[in-house]
Amino acid sequence: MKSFYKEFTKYFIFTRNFIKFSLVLRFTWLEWTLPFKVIEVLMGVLIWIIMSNVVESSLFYQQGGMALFIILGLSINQLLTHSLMAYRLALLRMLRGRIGFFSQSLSMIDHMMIHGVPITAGILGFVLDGYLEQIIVLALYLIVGYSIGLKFVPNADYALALISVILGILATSGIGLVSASTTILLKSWRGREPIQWSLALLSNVVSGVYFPVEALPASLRSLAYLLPQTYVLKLVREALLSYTRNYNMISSLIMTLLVYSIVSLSIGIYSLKIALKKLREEPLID
Amino acid sequence: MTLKVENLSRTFTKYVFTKRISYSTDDPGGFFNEIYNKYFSKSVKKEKVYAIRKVSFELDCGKILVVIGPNGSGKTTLLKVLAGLLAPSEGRILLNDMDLTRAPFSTYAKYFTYIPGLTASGAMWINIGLTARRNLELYAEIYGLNKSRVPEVLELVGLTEYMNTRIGTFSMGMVGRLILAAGLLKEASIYLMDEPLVGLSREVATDIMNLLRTLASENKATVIYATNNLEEAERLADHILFLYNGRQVFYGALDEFRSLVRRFILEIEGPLKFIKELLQGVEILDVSGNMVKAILSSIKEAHEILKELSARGVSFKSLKITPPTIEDIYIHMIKQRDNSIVKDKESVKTPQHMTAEVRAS
Repeated sequence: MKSFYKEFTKYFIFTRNFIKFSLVLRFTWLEWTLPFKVIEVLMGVLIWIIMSNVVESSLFYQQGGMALFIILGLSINQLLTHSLMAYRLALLRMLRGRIGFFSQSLSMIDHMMIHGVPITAGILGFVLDGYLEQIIVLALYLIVGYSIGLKFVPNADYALALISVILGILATSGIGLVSASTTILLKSWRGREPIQWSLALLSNVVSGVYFPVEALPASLRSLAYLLPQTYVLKLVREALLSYTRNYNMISSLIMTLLVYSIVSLSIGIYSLKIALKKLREEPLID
Repeated sequence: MTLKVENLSRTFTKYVFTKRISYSTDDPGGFFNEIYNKYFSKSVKKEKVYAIRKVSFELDCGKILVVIGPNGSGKTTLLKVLAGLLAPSEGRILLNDMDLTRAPFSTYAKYFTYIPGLTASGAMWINIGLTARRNLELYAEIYGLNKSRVPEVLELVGLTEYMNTRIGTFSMGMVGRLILAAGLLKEASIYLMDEPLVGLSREVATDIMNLLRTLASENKATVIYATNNLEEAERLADHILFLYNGRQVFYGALDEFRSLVRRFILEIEGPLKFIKELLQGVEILDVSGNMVKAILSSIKEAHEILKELSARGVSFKSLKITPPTIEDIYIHMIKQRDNSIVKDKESVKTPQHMTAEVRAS
């Protein structure tokens, strides 16, 4: 009887502590993942509600109709979302070791510093590697579209589309760099990062990925023009799906995107520079 | 090449939670947590803490400096500051009168290399699906090192036999050797080694120590070697730097360190109760089984103990009187340091005071 009691006590203590431990982990998950997930789902629902209202709308471009419109929207937006997120993800992967183990452990960044390799080279390596993957995905989208008979207009302006995408990548990269810098500046290496998260989320709803910006309620439309993705998608569709082009609108959109890129990249590079300097001065875990 | 370190300090801010609010606010790393804790919370106290404080030494090329000290004494921090991984808060680092203190890490990388031990390696670069040789080749390729040296370093750490084996099958000791091999791929003027022999078998450790000696004597490389293993320290050191709570307790030549404590070590094995009674008032360094290790101030004291033993008719198994090893001195100094902290929490003495105090004893 006594030994049974002893065994039971041991069993109970282990189970209680194990549950307590897993609850602590669960708490972090509830706080840092679940609320974001709920908002993402709500936004997804909103997309489909708006979409059902405009599905037969004349707002879609002449060429390719709704399907090509969405395929282009999704593939380009995916590329731009990668630019928003890739820098932070790269930095987090490179910091694994300083965070995740004990602060004394070396991370990839430490190995780079020991060998005098610029940290930005590592970030760029990870980001470009990701772009390669994204470009493959983009190509797949287009190949699938083409194979089911979706074609761009005969007078498609591929150079304009390419310039727009490059400017879009630069603009979103600036924001991505700011987001990456907060990992070190605010020591927020766990969970989501609100800057890039909110922009990536909003872009799905308001930047015209699934439907033209003109279909949005007026209040959301002004929000759309705060995002670089809106300009890029508009320009790319104008270049590839429209028979006639409004060059006044195109030049003003290009100029806006250019200014956006210069400003966001300047802020992004500056914040990353401060962050990398801080990396040597302060630990990531206080 | 002379490395000169002057009053080197490294501080960090310690956040102390005076009241637990929730699991999440204690848990670092979240975007809002960090903002809240740093700028809004009233239950977080900030404290400035010294990881190392006013460390000074000068080291010529071809010399080995062994940094010793208990856990948390600042050995790794010192090495990381010297490697350029952490910026010093105060003080200067001079290399041949060239001030490196505020230099970018790329400048440090030209002269220094940092080799971590098994526990601190992080293992970021290791791909367990590849062979040892391929891993090192990739490491060399990525970080711009000489790839052709891979077989040579693998031989140095005794891994030639396993160079074509996937490292996922390696034991911990073998991974430790691989990390050391990766570290040795870079040829530098100053090698900073942070407990690199932890987890390595005796014969490999001996080979590595011989290699370090060769690096110092033939290649004129400077080695700064942090360890808790005083046997390694005794075998390798030209100079000793003793850190305690981030402060420099001693810096000098190995012989100077040995002569700090002009005392004798008594090792006696016998009936514990009588021996302990006999050694009342004498500093006991260690008791294991029936063996007592104590530190005696003079030979005369040893004679008195022997006399007393024979007078009481106590039979003992063995008795040995020897000069202290550096381990004995280390333990003696740590005990002395601990006592002084307990006696007077405010008596945080400067390294000079401490050295003088030990000399006087």
